[in-house]
Amino acid sequence: MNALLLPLLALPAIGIVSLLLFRRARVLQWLLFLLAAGALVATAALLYGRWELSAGLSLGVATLGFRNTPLGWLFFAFSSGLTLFIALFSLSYNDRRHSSGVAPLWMILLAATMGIFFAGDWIAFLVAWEIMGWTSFFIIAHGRESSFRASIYYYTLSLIGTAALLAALFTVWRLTGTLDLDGSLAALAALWTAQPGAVTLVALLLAVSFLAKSALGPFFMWPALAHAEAPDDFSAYLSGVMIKYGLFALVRLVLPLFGPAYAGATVQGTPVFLYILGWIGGLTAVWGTLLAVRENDMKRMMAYSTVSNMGYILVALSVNTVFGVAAALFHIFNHMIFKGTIFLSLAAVKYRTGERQLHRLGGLAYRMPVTFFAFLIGIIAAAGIPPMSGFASKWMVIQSLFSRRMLLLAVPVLFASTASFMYLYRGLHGIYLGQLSPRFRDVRPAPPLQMLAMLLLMLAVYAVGTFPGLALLPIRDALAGLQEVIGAGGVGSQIPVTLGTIMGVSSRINLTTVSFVFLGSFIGVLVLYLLGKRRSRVEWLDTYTAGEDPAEWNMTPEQYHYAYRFYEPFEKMINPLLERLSLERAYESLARSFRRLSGSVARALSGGGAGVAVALLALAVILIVGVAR
Amino acid sequence: MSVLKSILAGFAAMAVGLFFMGVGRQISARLQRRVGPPLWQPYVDVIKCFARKSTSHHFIMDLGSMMGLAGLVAAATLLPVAGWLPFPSGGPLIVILYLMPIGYLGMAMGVSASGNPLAAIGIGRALTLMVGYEVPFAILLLSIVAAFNTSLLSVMAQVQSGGLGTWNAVRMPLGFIAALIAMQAMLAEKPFDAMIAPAEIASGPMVELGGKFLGMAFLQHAVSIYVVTGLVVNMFLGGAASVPVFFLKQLVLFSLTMGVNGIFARFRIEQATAFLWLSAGSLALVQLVLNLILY
Repeated sequence: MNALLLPLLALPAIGIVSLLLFRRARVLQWLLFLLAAGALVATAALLYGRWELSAGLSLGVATLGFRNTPLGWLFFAFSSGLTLFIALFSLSYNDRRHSSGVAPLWMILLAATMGIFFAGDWIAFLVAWEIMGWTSFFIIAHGRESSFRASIYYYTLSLIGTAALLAALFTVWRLTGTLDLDGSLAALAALWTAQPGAVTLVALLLAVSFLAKSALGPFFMWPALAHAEAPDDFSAYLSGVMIKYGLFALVRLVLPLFGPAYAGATVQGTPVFLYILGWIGGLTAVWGTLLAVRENDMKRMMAYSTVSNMGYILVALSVNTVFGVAAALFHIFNHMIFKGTIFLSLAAVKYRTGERQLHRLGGLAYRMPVTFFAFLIGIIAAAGIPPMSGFASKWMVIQSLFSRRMLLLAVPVLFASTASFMYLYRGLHGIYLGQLSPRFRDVRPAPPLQMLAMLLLMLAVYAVGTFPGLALLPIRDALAGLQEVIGAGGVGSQIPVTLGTIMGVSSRINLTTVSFVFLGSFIGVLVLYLLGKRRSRVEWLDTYTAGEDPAEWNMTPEQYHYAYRFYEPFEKMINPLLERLSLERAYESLARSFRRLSGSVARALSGGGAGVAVALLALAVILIVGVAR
Repeated sequence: MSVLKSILAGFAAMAVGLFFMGVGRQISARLQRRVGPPLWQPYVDVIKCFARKSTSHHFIMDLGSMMGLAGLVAAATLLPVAGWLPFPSGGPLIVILYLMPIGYLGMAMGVSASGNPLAAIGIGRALTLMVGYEVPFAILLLSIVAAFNTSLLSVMAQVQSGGLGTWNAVRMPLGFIAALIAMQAMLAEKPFDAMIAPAEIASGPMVELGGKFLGMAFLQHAVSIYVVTGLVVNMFLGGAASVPVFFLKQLVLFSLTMGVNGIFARFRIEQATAFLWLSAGSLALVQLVLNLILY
């Protein structure tokens, strides 16, 4: 048993044991969870560089193969690091009043995550994918009625994804005769001239599965439900790690199909299939942003923001160069840390206030300064503004588009990136600034452990923003082995990067300089500020009201907090568009017809007697036999 | 040395921007048949603001005001003036376009912390308008990349150094018109001044600012005039061979803006955004497609 297999088996075992033994002592469960997260980080350190390591788990009928690859390791290391910060937060968050009791399941999920990243064959990948699906289903539901509905929604999409994945697995086996991931992918990539239709089918089935997981394209709506209803600390994991599985799988399983052996049609140098995916990504980015702008629930807003970020990443992947993949991986990493920071900050707010609606919050920065700064740093990074992380990766996404002259696709990306300022600022204003409600006058700052987790993440966001090489150098090393698998050589086949600089297509930037320029400007302005005459502090209701006293016309701070329907003029502009193109309505009508169908089948089975049942069964048997032959 | 040069660039941006503001006030006054304030009035205003007592609601308000000015000053130090830069950066346009929002968001954060709903309404409008003008401007950036494969301002200026015929304003007239419309909105002049709207929301973001906070807001506006006109000069008017010529080109652009400001009424914010997308946005998009075909 080696370092690869041990956590895969030990984590679920510890999870089940802790579920059975410590049902009354939930703090112990969370302590174990923290230890497990720490152990994963240690495992990541152990596994680094040992790329020959592999393990097999024999289950009698099949053997699950796992292999340590640079790409899998990269995702594993990044996600384990984030998990450790979240575990630190969770230990404090899950006290007597807020405990969700999901720690044992979460430990099994950690093992499944590791399984996905290190899967060496299709069976192992599928098994890990399924375990991930149902553990997260139970975690999102966590014993609440409203959460359960969101969870069903999430699971239905997961099932669609799994069905597509299973179909892809069978097709791959049929075409190549092997279930080994690398072997079958190489065999498939060589089939472009002989059987282009079959390879496209595999790519399509896989894409459906992975787009569903990463909430891309027509699957954009599950995060808003699942992220919002999941336990607050788990939302950070959902948005930070879980939604990236689909993107990881796209890099691992779909991009290699479009390697140098690709012989089909191309648009601007990238395969048609990927070009379409790129536009799906670009439109997802715009769509998620527009939905986030008009959202009044803080967790749903940030969930839509996650959707739009997934869109950018898909755009970068569609370029199909090593530089593009590096941009995608870098944005995945940045999104992990800044969205983790944002969701932890929201969790801390919910922990202290129990509120989620923007217009019912307000002014919390004056009571929870560290939480506020975590959110601020997070949104600066999310907006892609230097000197925080997020700018560099968005810049790389744009540069990767430049390298193929895919400039029209850059338009939706830049639109989404600019419009993201709107909802990010709205969150900042609605939750943390403006008027402090008297209900929250005595709110205390977040507990020390929660603050520690947020501070560490803030530091990471700033450090990567100033020294992008901290993340990009490992990414470059991980991609070194993929040179011959991904895309056409030549343009963007290298990632020229040092600790502070990135060499793009249209220019070269030094993020360290940019960061110091901003810091220097800030110091200069601070001097100006100090030169000015001293300021005095006044209360928040003591504002300009054209000579009226708000108290005299019974104005309370809550009424004075402008947060509800913040962008009403903008909503008026976009609502007709959003309503006309509403996918939810299409899904609802689909659901209605399914209900009718299932109702008539049920009636036929119960009323029509055994004849119909026998006929259906016979049909099924005939189908199975026919396919098997 | 480059630190000293950067400080020089920062102060130059403020000083030149304030001078432009003075000229702008003169133009407005003449259009309204007034005598108008003297050219040095903005300097006097800023100095007076810094010398007056002020009130603040929280240190986040102080921090936000400082972030607001710092973001724009940082952008100004990256702007090539007739090829001159305080340190070798080449004038990265994408970085500048993303550094300016930190100024606006810092300002937004500062005035949000004041708790005045009028300020929040103003910021909401400002950010809506920002989507209106940043998108066309970003498309213009893309069309220049399509033509010359660079996003460095100094290279853009160099490409156009061969006289009037090589200016992008001549080569890409649609893009230049789009840039002028976007610039009008970037500088929040009429018809795109719904976020300030003094008679309606009491100057919006500025409503709670007094003393040195107002002074910093003035300086921020001055630097933004300097940076925005500087961007357009580098992108479309061929940069300049010497610093005075560069400033002169900036001044011509700003005078044009103030002239338009003097004769237009105010758009509502959704009208303004829609107008920007339909006019500047579609012009820029056509230019982008043209450049993709032509170059």
